Amino acid sequence: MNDRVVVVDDENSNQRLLKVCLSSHGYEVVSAITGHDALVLTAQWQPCFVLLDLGLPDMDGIEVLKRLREWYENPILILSVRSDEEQIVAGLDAGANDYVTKPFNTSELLARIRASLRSQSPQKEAVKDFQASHLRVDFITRQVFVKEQEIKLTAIQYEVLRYFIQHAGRTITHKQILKAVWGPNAAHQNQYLRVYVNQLRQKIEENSTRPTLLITESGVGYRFCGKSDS
Amino acid sequence: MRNQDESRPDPNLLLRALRSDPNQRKNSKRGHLKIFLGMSAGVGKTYAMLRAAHELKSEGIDVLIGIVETHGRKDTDALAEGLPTLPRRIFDYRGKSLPELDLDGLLLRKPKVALIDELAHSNVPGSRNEKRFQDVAELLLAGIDVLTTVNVQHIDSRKSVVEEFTGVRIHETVPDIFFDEADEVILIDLDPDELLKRLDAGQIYKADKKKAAKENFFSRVNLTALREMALRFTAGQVERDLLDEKELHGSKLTMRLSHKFLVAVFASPYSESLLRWTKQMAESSGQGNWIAAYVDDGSPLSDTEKGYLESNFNLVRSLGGTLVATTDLDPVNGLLRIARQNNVSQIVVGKSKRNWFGALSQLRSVTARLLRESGDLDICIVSSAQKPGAKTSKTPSYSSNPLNVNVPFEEWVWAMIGLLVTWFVGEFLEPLIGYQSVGILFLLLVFLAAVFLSRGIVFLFAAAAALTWNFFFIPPKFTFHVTEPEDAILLLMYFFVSLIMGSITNKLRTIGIRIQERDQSTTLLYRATRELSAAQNPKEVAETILKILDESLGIPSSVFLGSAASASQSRNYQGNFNIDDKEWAVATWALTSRQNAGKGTDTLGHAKGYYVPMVADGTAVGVIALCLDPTHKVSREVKVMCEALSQQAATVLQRENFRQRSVEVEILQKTQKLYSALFDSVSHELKTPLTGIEGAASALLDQVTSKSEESRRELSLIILESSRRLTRVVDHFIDMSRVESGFLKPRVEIQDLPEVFWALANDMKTELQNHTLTVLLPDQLPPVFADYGLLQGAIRNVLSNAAKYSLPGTSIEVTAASEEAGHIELTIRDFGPGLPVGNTDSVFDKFYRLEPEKIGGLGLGLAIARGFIEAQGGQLLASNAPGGGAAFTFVLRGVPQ
Repeated sequence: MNDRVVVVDDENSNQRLLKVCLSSHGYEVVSAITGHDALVLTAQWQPCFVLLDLGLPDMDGIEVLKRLREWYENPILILSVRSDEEQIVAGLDAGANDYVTKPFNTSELLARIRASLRSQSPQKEAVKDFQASHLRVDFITRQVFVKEQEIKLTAIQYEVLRYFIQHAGRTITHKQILKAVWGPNAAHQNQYLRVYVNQLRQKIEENSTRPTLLITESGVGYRFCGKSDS
Repeated sequence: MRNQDESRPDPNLLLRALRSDPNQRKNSKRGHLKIFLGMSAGVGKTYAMLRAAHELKSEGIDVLIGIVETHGRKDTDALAEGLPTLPRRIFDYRGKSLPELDLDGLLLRKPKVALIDELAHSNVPGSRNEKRFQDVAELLLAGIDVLTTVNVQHIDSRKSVVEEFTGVRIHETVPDIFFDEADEVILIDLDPDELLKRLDAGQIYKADKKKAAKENFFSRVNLTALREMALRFTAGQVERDLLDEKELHGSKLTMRLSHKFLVAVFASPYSESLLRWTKQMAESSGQGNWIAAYVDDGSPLSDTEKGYLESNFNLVRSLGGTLVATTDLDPVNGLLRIARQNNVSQIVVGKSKRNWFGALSQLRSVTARLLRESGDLDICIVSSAQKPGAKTSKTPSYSSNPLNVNVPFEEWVWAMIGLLVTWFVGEFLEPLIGYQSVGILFLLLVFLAAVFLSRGIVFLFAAAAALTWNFFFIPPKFTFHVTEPEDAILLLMYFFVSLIMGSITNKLRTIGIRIQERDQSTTLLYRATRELSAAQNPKEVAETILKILDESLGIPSSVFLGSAASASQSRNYQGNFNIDDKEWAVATWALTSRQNAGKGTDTLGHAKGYYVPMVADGTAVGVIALCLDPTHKVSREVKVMCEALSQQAATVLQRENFRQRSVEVEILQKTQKLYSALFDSVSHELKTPLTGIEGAASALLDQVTSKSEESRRELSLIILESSRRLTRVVDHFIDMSRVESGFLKPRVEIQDLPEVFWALANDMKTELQNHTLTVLLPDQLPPVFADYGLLQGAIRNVLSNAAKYSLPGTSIEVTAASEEAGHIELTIRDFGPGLPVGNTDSVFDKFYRLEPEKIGGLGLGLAIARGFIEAQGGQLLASNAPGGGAAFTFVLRGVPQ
């Protein structure tokens, strides 16, 4: 995979900042000022990911996102000053892999980018085993271990956990998990999810009231924070 | 057309289900009604009710005894003591103190569930409601659940049957519609022998009452019949619920044909038992589908008859039936027409006990004609039982009533004059045309009389005319004797012809008048509809109602517009009926309960006025008040009219409300949109530089990024520029608040305009680097009188605006002139897109931005510039320059001479 990145932002200072940061970490930056540029340049350069600002001079960022998603499969990260949950959920549901609000810390941004790229990487299908701090999951035998003690999960709890691990590091909206685990009809049954997440936390977290693996992104969804050690 | 789509439920059924489905009920906040039904006193209804209450209480539900009569029965007493009880209210009635249910206390205390014993009880006269079931209806409306008890003989439709077989007169009844609306009816059953045993043991009534009660009512036969009745009634209710359920769920019912009953209502006491019978039949057929028809054939009604008609109409309503009225000369035709229009399957008529006169007219009798002419309709002939205590035994009869002598005096005089004139004319003409032709003259007279005089006199007049003809003209003259057989036949024929003609003509006239009356009221209602819908505001609606009421009834009336809540606060009604405190309470009640109240109704009937609430979609939006003098009764016409008016008005008011609300919502939405746009732009302006600062600073901390010298420099520059940008935003906010707060204190001094300008242009070099600045400042420009800082700030904002909105490479022209003494004008012109045509001044509005998507900024710059210039006595004007682009002109004060 190439190391090209398309940065869509109409603010000159942001473009410069991101260019410095990303190029020093080995990415090749292509700048797009408008939504139209974003579409053209992404098609032309086929970058490994896109950083997208929502407030663009010619069209709405969500619209750009939707159009990109019609043919572009690599990660798209939203980078926006709009921090209300509605916007975040709309962005994630429209196909963004993650959402970072401005102002941001560059190391966090880079970490999120790496997480997105990782979950995108083709070897994810071949993952047979997952290990993060005290949690270990064997995807072949469907066994889950906490501090090497096997714990029992129900079928749905396991599905939820597996989905989280597959998308580790990314913010996932309620709707996305519900659709993936329960099917499209359950897309608005947030209370199901809350129950299962609580049950999961009690089983896999060391302290379920202060979770370190399954983090709540309030009003938006959840993020699984473990990184596979293997 | 049910055939077309069998699986679709009938909307009426859905509506009914909506009313009785407990889940829907919960939503509508109406209380839950549970009725404990028994065949007679002593079966244990009160006991069962108290047990149920204890169960609720143990579940932690707030249960309160409103009123319970234990009749001194020990086990019942014991149960009642375990529950909280509302103290009774003591009413004074004719020197006696009567404890009664404290309705207001109960409404105020508002328990979850209230226990109200003896649903059929009549309240002490002077209470708000005549009957206790009305109290219960009020409680339900207030959202309180009610448990209550009633005996089967108190059900309105069963009353007459019970009276018949027990011989005991029943005074207190509960309308059937109450049971239809109950959520649960629970039958408390007991074997009659067991009941009699209890009675003997004195468990039911105290010893002295016991014997009397037993002889009157508690015979084994009576009890068995009552028990059967109670069982059947409950079974009927259950069956109906089941049918509703089935139809709702779309299952096809193959067994049942649609039964719909029609019963004719007459101005007679007999109709009452017919109505009850029909209701019972309709109910047992499973659907409870029936209508009552009234045909007005134009015959005048006495006051007693009007009273019967009125009470029959009321009975129809309380039995839950629909009343259909029509006008037809022929009652049978009218009935059949109504029957066909309403898809009736069965017509119920009474088997009348006729007198000798009735026997004669058997051929014309309604029943006989219905049998002949009904075609495919079934006719049920029911024996109409003698109503106990009914004063008159007069059968309803559609043959004419010949001896109604309620005739005004003038008519007698006119009749006499007519007779005399005809006699004279006859005497004069007889020699010319012969005595037989004079008869025609008299016939003409009778015809004229039928047209102009009332019915009572016409028959007498016809007879008198015949006799006069006979006496004065038919030979032998001056005797009533007739010799010639042809004369006898002629006289007889004359007699019949005049009678029939008189009767028919007269009837036609009455019908004509009746139709005219009805036509008038139709016209009136039409007018009401038209004028009310033309009303622009609530005040006009009220005025229109008052105008129509005044013109049609001519009695004092008033209109109050507002909800029950607002009625308790203010009493600003319009109209000429003065509503005092006591009457206002009635009006408020009508509003709260959304039912008619006051004179002529069951609620607060002692009031002076008649109150009709205007109800639209279940909310009362006002009330119409009519002042009725003590002798005046509320006639059906007045009722119908008031109700129609109130309905119309309510619809109009509702529409007005909706319109107003939608306007408000629109304004709110606009404001919200504006607010959120403003919020977006402010947060964007503040967060963009912060992003630069935080991002660059965090990148500097990153070891990989900060390794290269070039990166470090670039990042530091970003921080610097972002900080400057942030400072500018903050400055703008501070400047704006200075302008707005009035703390701007300009130090006005003599300034040289070119000097001020060039200093600024030098300062703004970087900002203006993409544009060509063309400056034409005349050498002999007089000095200006201004504050250096404020002037420079204002020009800076205008210049930076010009640079922002015009494309790079275009030029910005600055010119100055002093055409008028004491004024110096500085104009800055760009070649950008220009200002909004026709509204150039809007650019000075706070937070106004021309193209918020494309060009950032707060939209404060120009507002600040204008504020700065005006503070030092100058002006800042905006216009579109000829040839495109915007031009801003500073009009500055010159140095005073």
